[in-house]
Amino acid sequence: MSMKIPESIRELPGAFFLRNAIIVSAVAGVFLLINTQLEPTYSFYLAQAAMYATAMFGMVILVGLSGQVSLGNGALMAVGAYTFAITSMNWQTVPILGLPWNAVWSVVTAGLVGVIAGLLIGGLGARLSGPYLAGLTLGIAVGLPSIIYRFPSFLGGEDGFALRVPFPPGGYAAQDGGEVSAADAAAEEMSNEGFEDFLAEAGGDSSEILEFDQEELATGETPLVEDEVLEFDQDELSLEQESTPDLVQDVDGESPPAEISESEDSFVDLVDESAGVIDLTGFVIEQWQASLAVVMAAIVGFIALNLIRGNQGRIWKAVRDDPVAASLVGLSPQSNKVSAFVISGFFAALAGAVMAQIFAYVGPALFGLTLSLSLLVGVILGGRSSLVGAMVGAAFIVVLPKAMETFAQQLGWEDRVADNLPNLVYGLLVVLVVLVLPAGLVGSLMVAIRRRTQR
Amino acid sequence: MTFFDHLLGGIASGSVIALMAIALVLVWRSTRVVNFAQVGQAMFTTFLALAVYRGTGNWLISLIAAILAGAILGLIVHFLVMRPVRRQDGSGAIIATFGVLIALQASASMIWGVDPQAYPPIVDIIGFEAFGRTWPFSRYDVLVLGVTVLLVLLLSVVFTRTSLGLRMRASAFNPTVARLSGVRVSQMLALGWALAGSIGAIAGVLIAPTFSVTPYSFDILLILAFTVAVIGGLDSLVGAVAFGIGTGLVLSLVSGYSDSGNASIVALVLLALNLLLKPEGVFAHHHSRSV
Amino acid sequence: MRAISLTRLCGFALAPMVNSWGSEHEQKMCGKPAISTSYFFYLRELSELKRVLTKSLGLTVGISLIAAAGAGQALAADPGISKTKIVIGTTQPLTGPFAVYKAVSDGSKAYFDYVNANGGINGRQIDYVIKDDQYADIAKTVTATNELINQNKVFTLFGALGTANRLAVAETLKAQGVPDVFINSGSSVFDNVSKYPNVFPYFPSYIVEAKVMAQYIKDTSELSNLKRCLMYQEGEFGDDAARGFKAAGMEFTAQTSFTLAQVAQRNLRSQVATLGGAGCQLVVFFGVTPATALTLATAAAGRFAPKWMVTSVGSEPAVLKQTLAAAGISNPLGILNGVYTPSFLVPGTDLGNPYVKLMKGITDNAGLPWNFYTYYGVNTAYVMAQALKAAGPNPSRKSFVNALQTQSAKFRSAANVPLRITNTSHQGLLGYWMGQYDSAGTLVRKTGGILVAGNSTTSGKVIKASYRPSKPTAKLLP
Repeated sequence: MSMKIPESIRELPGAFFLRNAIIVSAVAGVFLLINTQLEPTYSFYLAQAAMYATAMFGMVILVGLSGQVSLGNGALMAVGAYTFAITSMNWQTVPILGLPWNAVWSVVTAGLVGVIAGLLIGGLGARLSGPYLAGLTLGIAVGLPSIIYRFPSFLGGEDGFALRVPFPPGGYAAQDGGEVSAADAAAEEMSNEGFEDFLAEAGGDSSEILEFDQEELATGETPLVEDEVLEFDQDELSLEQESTPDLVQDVDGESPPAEISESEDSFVDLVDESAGVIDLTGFVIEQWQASLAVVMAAIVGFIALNLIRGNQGRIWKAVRDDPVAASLVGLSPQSNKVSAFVISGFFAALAGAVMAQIFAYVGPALFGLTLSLSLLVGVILGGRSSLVGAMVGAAFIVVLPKAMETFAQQLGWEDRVADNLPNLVYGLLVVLVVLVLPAGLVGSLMVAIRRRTQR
Repeated sequence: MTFFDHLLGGIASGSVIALMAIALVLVWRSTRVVNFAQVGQAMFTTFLALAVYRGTGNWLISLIAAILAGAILGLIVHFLVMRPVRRQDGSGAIIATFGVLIALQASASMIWGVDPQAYPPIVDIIGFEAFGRTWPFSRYDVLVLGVTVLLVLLLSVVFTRTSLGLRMRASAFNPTVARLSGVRVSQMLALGWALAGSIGAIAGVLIAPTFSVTPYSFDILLILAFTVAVIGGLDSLVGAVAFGIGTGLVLSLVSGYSDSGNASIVALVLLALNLLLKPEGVFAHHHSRSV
Repeated sequence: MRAISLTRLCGFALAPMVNSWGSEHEQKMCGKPAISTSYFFYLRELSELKRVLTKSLGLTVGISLIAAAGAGQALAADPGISKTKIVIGTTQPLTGPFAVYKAVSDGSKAYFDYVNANGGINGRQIDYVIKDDQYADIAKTVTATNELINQNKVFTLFGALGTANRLAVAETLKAQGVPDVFINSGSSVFDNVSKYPNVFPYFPSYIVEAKVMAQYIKDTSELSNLKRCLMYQEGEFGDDAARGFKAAGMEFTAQTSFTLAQVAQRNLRSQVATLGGAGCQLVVFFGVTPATALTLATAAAGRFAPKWMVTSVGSEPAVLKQTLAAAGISNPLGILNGVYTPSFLVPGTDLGNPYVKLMKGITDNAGLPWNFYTYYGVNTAYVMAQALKAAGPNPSRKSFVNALQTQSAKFRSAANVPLRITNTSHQGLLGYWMGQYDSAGTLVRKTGGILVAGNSTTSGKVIKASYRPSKPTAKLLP
């Protein structure tokens, strides 16, 4: 009796999804709980690991299930991150629906654009085998920054966009737009005025008789036109600055003069009022970032779990293992390869949208070849056909360099050796894991467990 | 006149790409692996050769040292890393060579530091004078181009005309059949890696005078050479050279006649177009099974 | 500040984010009853969930920072300051292709060690924490900065490298109130107090430099009549240079640009061919030092010999010589001879200068090479130490920023242009003097005076001035 009921439940149409949902929520719940107890920096590591895991879930499908190599998924993350940043900075309302724009819409848009990018790359790559596909995706990863440089006003160029987190209803405000806003112009005018006053002060006394310091001018070959020259003398300048009444100093760190704390735009004020990064509940921004990343990873993980354990997962495997047999039973290898790219593009773009938010910045230097390679390294090391493996791999690429840095610094070796030691160990470990655990950390563990249970 | 300047500059820079692409093709031919560590190996052997050069003051001895060191390093990577990994799929092998690259660069940074080191050129790098002007092409550029062409000719003869070359190709193409025909496959694969290591080492010493020697100075060539080898058809030496020099020309002309920033975009578009039209590379000799 | 005072009226759910990321938009939102962004609701629930969990499970709130946010924050010391220590942090490329720039932080470290050995600043030792970000990987910069703030609890950042790197963390630093002092970036974007109230550049932006170059070319008869051309690095260099020359009303016969990838590939031949083909007689160059070296080497190989004027950040003589030699040039000094470059420091080769002598002594004792990077590192660290000292016996971030904004004119350094930081302008050094390399590779001053510009705007003129710096403090201690 007790055996039969679960069987019948398992056959219900919703049961499959329900079970996957329970698994994913449980895992995500544990991480969210852990997150509340972490120091800010560790929450930030968790945020990054969850963000990488989100992209790596796509790599599991692409590399593990469908057997394609990609060195360019970092570029797909960039697509998501840039879409997120640009839409949330510029879009006020949702097209057609007319609803006010918010971050959720930006994430959705990022995912959709990621699908399109995945379709493009997948379509280009569908006929390519191993190294040729690697070459194409590598070219995309390396060529991406030059595209961003080409359109500085639209894509932010070399400097990228700094974002404010979190979102006002209209989206993020651009921190570094190309145009000069009215406020900027005012600020510049202000500093211009100040400079003119400063020049007037410096030259005020000596505008009639200009005295050059002989030692200074002795080195110069071009005599300067006398009436245009101002003379600065550091000793005089410092006296002047000191005696300027509105620039009162707070040398002994006691309560500041009233006029400073009342000044409208003073940095001093900002420091004072926002010094605490924590509200009364003790929930810091890093924990919020981690929560965001974990929730996104959970959503993507749920989709991935359903795909992998469902029909589509078997189709991808079949196409990977024997394309000829698969096509004989009516499965198109090419369209299934493209679909794997589309899914991984979707996931990578969502990870990119998370990245834009946890780094509060989008720029070409975030999406170098290192990122794409890290994604592949993580997924191969963790175990290429397992979502848990992707999670382990994500933790690996975030935590290992940090752990090695700490370790290397404690050795007290020469700088040149200690600084480079983490890279050396990272490289060697990558080689070692591929050699010793060809199925990855999690994959090899599973194989070992399976062997033991079979015995 | 400027057009010819762009042309000559493109050929000179393209032959450097071609030289490194040849090494990649050799490894691919012998073991069906793309060796990301190739530039790292070349960098490492160039540092060693530089030490020899400083010790002996003899350029030729340093070149020979580089060739030997390249072969040995190639064998080490082959036996320690690639042979055990080879049975896996492409991703595992790529990641492994990538790990070797990181480890080599980190070790070089530890041993030699990151400041650029000078490797003096054996011939003049000042351009030729003709028709009343100086052309942006020097004896040094002739040397690089000449060695590239010479190596390709030599290797082509070895691979097509000698029994050793045939055995090497057979081992890579179908190890099982080759083994049944009495070829010592593992020896042939090792030989391929040693040969590729030596070619990479020659490339390193030849381009060191302009690239200078740092742990990272050849990195850019990895990307270019890999792309070029892929377009040419990973199997083809002629393809590597033709597309290496072709890429140099295209990049040079694009930056000469439009904005420099367009060069990489044009290169990317050409890569995509080539692979779209010729998925197995333009000069590929055979077609693997496709559905 | 209007914005902040509004936050006090905000509801519970918004408080954490407005506190840490306050911006006008959010403040506007606070006033509205309906907050539509889904994430806000999500956050409120999560906070609530955490409170429930904390209560029901009896978990202790394990976040040590809470104390810092308590009611007594006005009295409590800022992070990074104790009775015996001041912690300052930086991100630098310690590894990777850009690790040559590590020499700057080596120089700064040598100076801080020297100060520590001589009793520190007001009895406090300087703990200078250097984190590796490889420069080109901004994910590392963001992570390392987070660690510096939350784990190392730095008082301030100092001398961190890279424009995009600084932009990526600017908002975080602003929100957390961490000053970002003497950043290594010549980008004009940071010369903007209202946007970046906590960022303090040291050297003037490329816009100022371009304006100064233009002025010098106009005023110098042997240059003003030459056929002028511009060669620039794609990205911020080119953008800023273009703006500066436009502001100065300077036009060029030909322009050509290059990318860092082309420098890595050691191929700037087509750019040089373009300049040669256009018959350029004076080439103004904006790019990093390796690019300068490659350009000069390429021109020499093609026997193209115009007059060169190179940006100050692209003309470090020791590195140029080394790179030129490493690029196969047998007589690097011959190529460097006659190159114009603006500068703001006393030439490092001027060993008779008391600053140079003292600073070189410090690097020599630390076993460091003497080049522009180590020199610049010691020099900025010297200014930094004076600013920390000026912040008073019990420094806070507030008093430190105040000291920077009110006492900058006092700070002594090897810069021979005035340093000016106020609460309306953080430009830092005001301008340049023009120099030219001689056949021995020494930078010879061409202007007795200096050329200064008030800010990085595209308006504002360049003014000729002279500046007599004060003598160094005793033993170069703050």
